[in-house]
Amino acid sequence: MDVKSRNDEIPKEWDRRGLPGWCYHSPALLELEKDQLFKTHWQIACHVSDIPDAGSFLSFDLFKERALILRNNDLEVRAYHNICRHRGSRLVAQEQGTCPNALICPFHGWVYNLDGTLRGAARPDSFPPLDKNEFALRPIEMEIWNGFVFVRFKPGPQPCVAELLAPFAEEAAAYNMAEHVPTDGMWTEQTPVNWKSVRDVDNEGYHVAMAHPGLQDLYGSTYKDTPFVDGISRSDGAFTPTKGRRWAVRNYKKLSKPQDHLPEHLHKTWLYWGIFPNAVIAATPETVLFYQEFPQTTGTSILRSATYRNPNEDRQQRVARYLTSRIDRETVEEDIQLTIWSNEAMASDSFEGFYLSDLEYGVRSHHDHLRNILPVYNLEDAPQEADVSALNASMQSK
Amino acid sequence: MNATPQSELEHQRKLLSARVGAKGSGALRYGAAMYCYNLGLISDDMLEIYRRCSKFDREDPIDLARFEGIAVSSFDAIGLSGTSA
Repeated sequence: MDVKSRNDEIPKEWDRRGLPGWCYHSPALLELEKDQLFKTHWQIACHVSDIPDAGSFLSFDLFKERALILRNNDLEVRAYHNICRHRGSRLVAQEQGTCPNALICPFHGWVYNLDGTLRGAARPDSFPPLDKNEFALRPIEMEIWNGFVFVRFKPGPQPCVAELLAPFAEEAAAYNMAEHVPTDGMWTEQTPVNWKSVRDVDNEGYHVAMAHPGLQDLYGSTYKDTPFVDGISRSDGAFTPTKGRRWAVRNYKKLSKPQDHLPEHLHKTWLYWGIFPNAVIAATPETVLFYQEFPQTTGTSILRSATYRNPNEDRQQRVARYLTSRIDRETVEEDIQLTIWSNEAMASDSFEGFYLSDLEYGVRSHHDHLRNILPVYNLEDAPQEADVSALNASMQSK
Repeated sequence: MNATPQSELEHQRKLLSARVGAKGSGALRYGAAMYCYNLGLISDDMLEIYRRCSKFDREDPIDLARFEGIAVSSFDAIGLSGTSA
């Protein structure tokens, strides 16, 4: 199935409510989300260009789990648990770096080859012989899609990434994303909201005209969302023909030029591919990027993002890329404020819940995906915290 | 242990004598020392010296071994500290 043949029509009649407010501040539900949603669904760890050489690595923590993405001597990318087989210490403590010869556990000094096998234990005379494969680093399920490295900590309901994102395959291939290179590294920021409030804002474009003057100036009325269907959504905006009233947009429209590798309809378009439950890969003529959010507590989340560029850009493209980042940076700041307002509504006894526009059907479609995984979201009234897990299990078994 | 390609041994041997003080050299030397230990080319005591030096790029393992009275073989010493045992 390609992007054109997806059935992403908005129903004529649909339930315009959002998730019940209690879902945004229940610690027991958060634990279910961590275990049955985040760990069981594909997560973007990085891009292959973040680990360019043999021994380059990137660590990626998800709650109490931790992944190590590593390039081996054959320049293949592999993912392992960042856990020494001896006492469980993290093998690499930095977020990114290079171990050109071997990985050395900073706790006792066990040494691992770059293919994950054990080279040897420290003080080998104190152990019986150790099999290098039996004591190798434990692999994590990993898949690379157009250069983006996805990991999954536990088996889950999604198919492989290539199948999941197949409707976007042709469109994505045009961007040569696997050839892109990093720009300014990994960006993270803590934000004072439940993670779903971040997604509730990002999953609809109804607010763009009101809240994002830069994006409105850039693509305004052309912007359209398609909802989540089979775990993925898509949005795009084509540059409007006006010159642009705002400085960054005006200059960006002037400087952004057609990229030879892109088909004409993507020469002046920003694209967003949503990946349930918590990530987006976006593409502009100059860049590709991913952004995602992870819950820390019911009321705090981590935003994480990285941007990559065409490897061969000229000065004009570099300036255009700077302008995309400037427009994006403003948009993120504006969105953070919206997420705070949306999230605080969920704590009010007086708020009766969302009543969504057709232009916000993406929010509902995301919530429906959530309800399919954790049916306890369907309870309108907050259950007792101690009952959340059992109620969910009981609803799952029906 | 399986047969080891000579080129890999030579590579690890070079890493074993990575310049003291170079960034990351302590870990490079220890990783290489473990490789050589597995081939029976390095003693338990010397492997332990390399382990102790692995986080300290400026610590010369041969100097430390000699300071502590640990036997330094010609294999250990070549390329490090400019001396042999």
